[in-house]
Amino acid sequence: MTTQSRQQVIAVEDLVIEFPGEDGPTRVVDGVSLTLHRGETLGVVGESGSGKTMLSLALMALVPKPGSVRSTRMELLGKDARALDETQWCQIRGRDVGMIFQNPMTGFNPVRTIGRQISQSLQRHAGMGFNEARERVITALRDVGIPSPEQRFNAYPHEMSGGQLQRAMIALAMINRPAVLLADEPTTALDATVQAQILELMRARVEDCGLVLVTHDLGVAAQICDRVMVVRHGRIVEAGDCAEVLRAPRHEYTRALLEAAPRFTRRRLMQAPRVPTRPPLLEGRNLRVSFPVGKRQLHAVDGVDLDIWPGETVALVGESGSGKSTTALGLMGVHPLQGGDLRFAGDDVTHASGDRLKRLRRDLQMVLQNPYGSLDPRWSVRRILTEPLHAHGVGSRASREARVRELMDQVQLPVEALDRLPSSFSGGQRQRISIARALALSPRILIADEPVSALDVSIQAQIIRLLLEIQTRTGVAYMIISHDLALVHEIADRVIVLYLGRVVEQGTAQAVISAPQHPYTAALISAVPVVDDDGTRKRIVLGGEPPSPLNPPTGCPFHPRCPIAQDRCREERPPLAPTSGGSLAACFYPGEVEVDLRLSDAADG
Amino acid sequence: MNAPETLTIDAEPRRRLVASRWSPGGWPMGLRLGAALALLLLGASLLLPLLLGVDPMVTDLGRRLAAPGQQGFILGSDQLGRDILARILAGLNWSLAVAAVSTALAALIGVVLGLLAADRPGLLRTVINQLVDMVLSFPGLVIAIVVIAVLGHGFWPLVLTLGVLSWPVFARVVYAEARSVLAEDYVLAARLLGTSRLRVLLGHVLPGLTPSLMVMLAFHFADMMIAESALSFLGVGAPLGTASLGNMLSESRQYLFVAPYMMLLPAAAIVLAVVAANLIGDGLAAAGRRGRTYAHDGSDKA
Repeated sequence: MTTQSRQQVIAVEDLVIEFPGEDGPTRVVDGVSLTLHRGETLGVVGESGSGKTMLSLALMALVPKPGSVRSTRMELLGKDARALDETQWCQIRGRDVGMIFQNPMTGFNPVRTIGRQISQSLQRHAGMGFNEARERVITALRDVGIPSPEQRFNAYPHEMSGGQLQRAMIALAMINRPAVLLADEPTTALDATVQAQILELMRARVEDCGLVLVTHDLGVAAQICDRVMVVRHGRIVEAGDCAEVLRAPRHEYTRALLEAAPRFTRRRLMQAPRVPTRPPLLEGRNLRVSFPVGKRQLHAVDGVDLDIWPGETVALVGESGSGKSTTALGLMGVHPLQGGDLRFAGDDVTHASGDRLKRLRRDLQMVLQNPYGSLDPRWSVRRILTEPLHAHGVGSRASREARVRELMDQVQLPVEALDRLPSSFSGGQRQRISIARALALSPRILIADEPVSALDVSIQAQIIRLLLEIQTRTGVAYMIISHDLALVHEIADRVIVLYLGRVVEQGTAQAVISAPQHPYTAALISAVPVVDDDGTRKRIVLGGEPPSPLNPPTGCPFHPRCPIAQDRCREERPPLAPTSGGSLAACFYPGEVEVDLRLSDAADG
Repeated sequence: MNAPETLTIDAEPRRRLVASRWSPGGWPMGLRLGAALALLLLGASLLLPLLLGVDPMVTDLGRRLAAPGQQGFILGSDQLGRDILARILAGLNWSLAVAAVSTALAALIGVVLGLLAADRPGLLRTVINQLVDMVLSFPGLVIAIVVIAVLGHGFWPLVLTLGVLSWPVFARVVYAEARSVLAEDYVLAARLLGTSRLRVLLGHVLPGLTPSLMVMLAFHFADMMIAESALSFLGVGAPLGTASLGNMLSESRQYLFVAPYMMLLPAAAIVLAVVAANLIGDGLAAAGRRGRTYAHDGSDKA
């Protein structure tokens, strides 16, 4: 690292941020010191509530009232930043310090064009005229990889996808060539494949400025940071060279975070692959769900075959918009199936409704993604857990109470908490309540839609462990919907990969993850930011984003983004066929794209 | 780290929420004032007549148009020598009862139809929403005259007219809010569990609407007070001769310059009752907002 020779752009010593509260002030940042040089990337890693976002806001003097900020030293570009007033900060923000926010959808004003919003920054800070600014903005949009920037200049935010908007946001933050760039969870709201694109872009673009990357994901930090700072409860627990910290973490908390970070190493000790002697519990053939959009039909699920055997774990993976959740809601009878054949334990339940659907739900339950939205904020935990029992008229008052206590025990929450409202629980605890509710009727299949993606990494590991324990105890089968391939590798028996509402690859987790046959699967796996990446990992970065299911490409739906597409792929749709790797794949050239998993020595795959 | 998460300081947010919203100690100033005023008016209209022991209908032509404090009348007498205080108290009683029952009627119809429209997309929703628009476009006064002509004067015809003409206000708000609650994840979760539609509406949706409903009830009550007085003033509300605030105003017209208190005193009673209801409405709205931010704090802290 030659950081010492470069210009120091930020120097902060003993930063304290406090918020007044009823029981005296709360310190959200407590004595943090940091420096940043040009050309350097500093990762600020911590879980929610660690104060990492406040820390980055303090660097732009944007800590919201009534918070107070103190420090013994705070220099920006060699000048004392504590002496600046709001007018001077307005000059600095956007010119010397650029900011990239977590959610690009809300970062832009929806009623003005992207180009205008970016050129405004140039007109204001560099005093450029509109035409000159326009030229610069178009160049900048081209530099961040936005296709046909002349047209996109006049696009409104809603006309662009999340990934495109985040690119535009980077263009906006970089337009005045700032000395410091602050990025707060810049890829958290994006799909893994798009995240890989954005990280690649940030790595390439950040040469002459200092980048502060705030993230909860050590894997992301490992991809692009020179130095990392691990924060917890507003304090730095460990700081140092990124590779160094990841290789030999000194603090227990860093080790725990690292333990919880995605990587393809640990593999659940599995029984020999189940030979499906019994018929599957749930058997779906050629399932279809579509929604009317204007006069046309949007085929969200377009002929999916899907089986779930008793006691196994199936993972459904794919980018957002691939039809994962719609498939699940189709199985649950929320979205009616327009076609196909669905059988549960041999009975035809394709068009089940009324009492038959209700009976099916005793055996087929679902946990939703967002634990903050899926519990009624006005209901006590006891009432939440008895809801399914009441709905199905199960048990007497006393037996229901006993069942509720048993469930609390199963998800490791104290029974004393039964009278509390959801608001007194953390995200992880709420997800436990959600799981307990879904288990109340003792279902034989539990569908979990991204059960941990809204949670902190350390909590994710706990919830996954809980799910596995419950499976061992009750023999319930899981269908886990996830975009996290590392997680899937760890817990799933079988994997089904969806693209545009169709199955593109299907097989045992072992086969699919370690030797993916479809290039899309390979790209998904490659997009997982693993912590063991020392920069030499070979990556497959997909171009573009999933096409609209309203307008699917001809031939193989994946061909426009496929690195190995041939003429044949543009004309003919490949069928799902057995491959040499043992899985089924819908590709004419299976197994041609290889992935670098970075399996560490602990791996057994 | 590897130990299960510990259950952090809880119970606290709930206790504070309950304290701030539903005990007088945590009420906003306006709500306390409004509640006190409402209690005062209600208490006076129910208890004072007993203390006073004066029949509001008894005429005494020898002591007519007495000014307040004269000839033994605390607040004076009207053109027929009836006691104005007794008539105001009886009129208040009548007006409060009409406003309360017609508000309840409007709320009942509005909530049921609003919930139905929110829950059932398709024909039923279209029909209900069209009905709302239709009723809103009725000329209220004309309908009132027709109803009185057909059913005659009286408490129930008046209440029916007011309730049936004003429910769309409730239906509209309930419809809009219920649709947003129905889109919540916890409603989807309830459906996935097999909870019936009725249970979802009564258990999840209606409780979510309660804060807005309470605010609406208070404001609607004030509207109904004014509407009742207006109809009575025009002679299509309370039966002629009945002690009603609107009737008193109507009768006072001819004596405006001789006995202005005949108009001012009942008008003041109407104003006080309407102000009380509005203060309560505003206060509930403020408490609701504060309750929401408290609940939000709780979830963020977790």
